[in-house]
Amino acid sequence: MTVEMPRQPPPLPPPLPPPLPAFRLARDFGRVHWGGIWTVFRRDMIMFRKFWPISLAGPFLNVMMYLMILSLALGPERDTAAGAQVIPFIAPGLILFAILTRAAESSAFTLMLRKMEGDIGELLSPPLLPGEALAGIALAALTTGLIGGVPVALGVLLTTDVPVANPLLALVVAVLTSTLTGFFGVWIGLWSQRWDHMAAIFGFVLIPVAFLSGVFARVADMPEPLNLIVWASPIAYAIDAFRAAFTGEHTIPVWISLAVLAGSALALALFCRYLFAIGYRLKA
Amino acid sequence: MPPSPTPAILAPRLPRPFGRVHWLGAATLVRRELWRFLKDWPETVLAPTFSAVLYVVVFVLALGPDGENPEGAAVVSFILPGLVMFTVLVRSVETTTFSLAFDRIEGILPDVLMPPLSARELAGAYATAGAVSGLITGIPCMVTVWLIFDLPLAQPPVALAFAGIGALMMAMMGILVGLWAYKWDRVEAAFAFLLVPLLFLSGTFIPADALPTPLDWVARSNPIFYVIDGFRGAVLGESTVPPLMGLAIGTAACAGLTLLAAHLVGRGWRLKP
Repeated sequence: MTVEMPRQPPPLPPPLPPPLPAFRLARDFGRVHWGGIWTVFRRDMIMFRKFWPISLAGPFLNVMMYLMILSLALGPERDTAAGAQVIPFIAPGLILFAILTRAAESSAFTLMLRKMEGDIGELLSPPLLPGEALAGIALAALTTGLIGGVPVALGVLLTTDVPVANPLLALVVAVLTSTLTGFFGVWIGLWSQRWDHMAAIFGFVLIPVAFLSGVFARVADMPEPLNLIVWASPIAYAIDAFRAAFTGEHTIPVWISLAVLAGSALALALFCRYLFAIGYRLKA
Repeated sequence: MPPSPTPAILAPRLPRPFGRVHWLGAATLVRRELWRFLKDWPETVLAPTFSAVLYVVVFVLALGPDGENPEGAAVVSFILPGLVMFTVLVRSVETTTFSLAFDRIEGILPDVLMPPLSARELAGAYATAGAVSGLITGIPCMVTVWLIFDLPLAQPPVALAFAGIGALMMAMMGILVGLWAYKWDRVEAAFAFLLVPLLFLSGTFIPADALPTPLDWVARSNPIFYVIDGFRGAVLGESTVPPLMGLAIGTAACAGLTLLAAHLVGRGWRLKP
């Protein structure tokens, strides 16, 4: 005899998974996270403002001291024909030197400080693309470089009689150069693992290269191998074009200098974006 | 009930069992400071030499064609001894400033305050280490400059005396800055606004007579000017100020700074709560 077992109700089919979106959700703040870029930028600018004795007054004092020493030791006070031309030649280079070191310091310092204090996560965890975080930092570097250049330029132009032939060109060169060294500062900040590494790159690479790139002397007058090596660094083109904006004197046609500057800034930007994307020395 | 024994803490202070001066303790502190300095030799010994050479190159390049004639050569040989001395002085002041500021900011100053070292021994040991570190950094700088530019080096002992006095003076100055600066910004500010202008306005690059009127008074009342001038005199064979007078002014400034530093360390100014 078979007992009719009550029929088990058929098991419910497992609930269907929610349908996968066919495409990635659009970032709800639009294609570019402008707010995020602005916040990264503003954070760096607050840091710049807080450290103004070091970031603004320090470079100013430094450049004025160089200018005074050079004009007293080599310049018009010596009453030689060469001495009279020293200051108009050196002054534009010194202004650009202040701008470009300031821009590099800004981005290198902000990345290093975040890495050393362990709050780099604040930059990596928000929904920012690598290029967006990078843009915020580079924009801050550019702005601090230009702001830092204002007192230096005023001080130099008021104490010396250097003509300003083409202010627009000067501005363009300053913007391109501080973008370039701002990205270089990003690389320094990514590469350095201790504060001394950063100091070493500044002391052994950036400042010597900038000093030897024609700030103080015509590249053509330099001894034999040096005058060719110097043109391998884009800073030499920057200083040449910047000087052209003041005294009109230049070795390389200005448009070539601008092209070299823009090209190398772009290349460095892409390189830094790649490093950011793979998390080079940023993510464990 | 027998009188309870005097608690040890109320007993009269024992004479220091190690003699009037704790030589071993001071020497230990000097050794610790010197080791701290030598550990980072690429930045502390080599980098200043590199910067000094860079300054020279900048000057030679800026002189341009003038560098060939005797007048330009005189400018360069004027600058060289000043730069060597500049390197020594900067290193001395940096060593003591950074040691004190670092220890306080990291909260490890009790390591130095707890041992039975008197204030004078502390200040003396820090300053000795600072001065020696400055002199050590000066060696590669002097040798490089000497090899490249063929300086005369007229009176080596006098040069060493001036370098030693200057280094000790700056090391004492570094103790004062290190006590004053309780944050890194303050260290940076002291260097940017006090020490670097003092060093630059001291005849490193320019003879004091060539400075415009208010600045030459600043230079003349700056003890650093006398040690740099004396060192240059000992190297090149001619100085603005007679060497004995320079030595006397340097020693007096050094003694004044020493007294001040020892007094402040003794009071525990910004060292003890």
